[in-house]
Amino acid sequence: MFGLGSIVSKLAGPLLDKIGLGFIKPLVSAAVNFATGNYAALIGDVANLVGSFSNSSFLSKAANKPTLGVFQNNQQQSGCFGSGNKLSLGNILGLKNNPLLKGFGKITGMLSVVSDFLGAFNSIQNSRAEAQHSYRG
Amino acid sequence: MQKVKVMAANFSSNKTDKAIDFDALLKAPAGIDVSDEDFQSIGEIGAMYYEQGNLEKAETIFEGLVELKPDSGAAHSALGGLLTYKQEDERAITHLSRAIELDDKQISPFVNRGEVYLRQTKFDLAVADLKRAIELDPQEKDPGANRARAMVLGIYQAIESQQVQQNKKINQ
Repeated sequence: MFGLGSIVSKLAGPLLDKIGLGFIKPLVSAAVNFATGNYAALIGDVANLVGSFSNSSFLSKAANKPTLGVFQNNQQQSGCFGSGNKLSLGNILGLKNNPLLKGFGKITGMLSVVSDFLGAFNSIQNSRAEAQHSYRG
Repeated sequence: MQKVKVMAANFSSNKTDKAIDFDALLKAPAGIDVSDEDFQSIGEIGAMYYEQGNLEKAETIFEGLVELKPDSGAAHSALGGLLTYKQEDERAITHLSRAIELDDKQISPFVNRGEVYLRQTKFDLAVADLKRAIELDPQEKDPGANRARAMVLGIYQAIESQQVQQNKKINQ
């Protein structure tokens, strides 16, 4: 039962700690009572899953905290927010001041954070452009 | 204009998290038009704050996205992921379960719900979710699915060491 899994398992300990999953081993050990036999199906499922792993290289490619899905995936691929689209401070401020949003506190809270971010982002970009301009001049 | 009405009274005590009818509770604001591209960009700003460790701002953004588009699986997934990280487990499960209902091809909500179930020692549910996440990424490329593999390996390690100890006792 513990063939390939044993080899992978020996490599895993410190890496699991690194990605915030060190809690698993003591938790499972404390909770599972093998003597009762109630966990036979679970043990079989886990062994089959581990047996399906091609090798241990996935450990170095594992997220070190819970992932967020498509917002995070695209950000990681593009290297910055926005993926090159035209989210503008003007649009966000216009939306924020839209009377139809009265009563939608979470949306207006979100728009405040986003408009602050875009304001700072634009300011940095302008400063950089000015610095480049004066350097060339 | 429709107002958001999320009142405690609407959450019937005899309902499970999965049974909550979000569509009945949360209505998107009528007449507000945000393009898919802008919605995505706002989500990416939230993800950036999350990566930087600014969880308060990230949560504000993801909660706003959920209110803006209650039927967005991506928004529920992101908020659920952040709540998993904060170990706000009940809220996390609510949003992760909704994300899966809306789009069961997303890897992240399965991984994160599996992590929460693991913390809650609901091992059968945890392994089922982790298995689904792993199946959705056969190439072992997705960081979330690889996190699921790491969790399965952690469970395996614990079982293995228990087994060794048990064998030692028998042999003594």
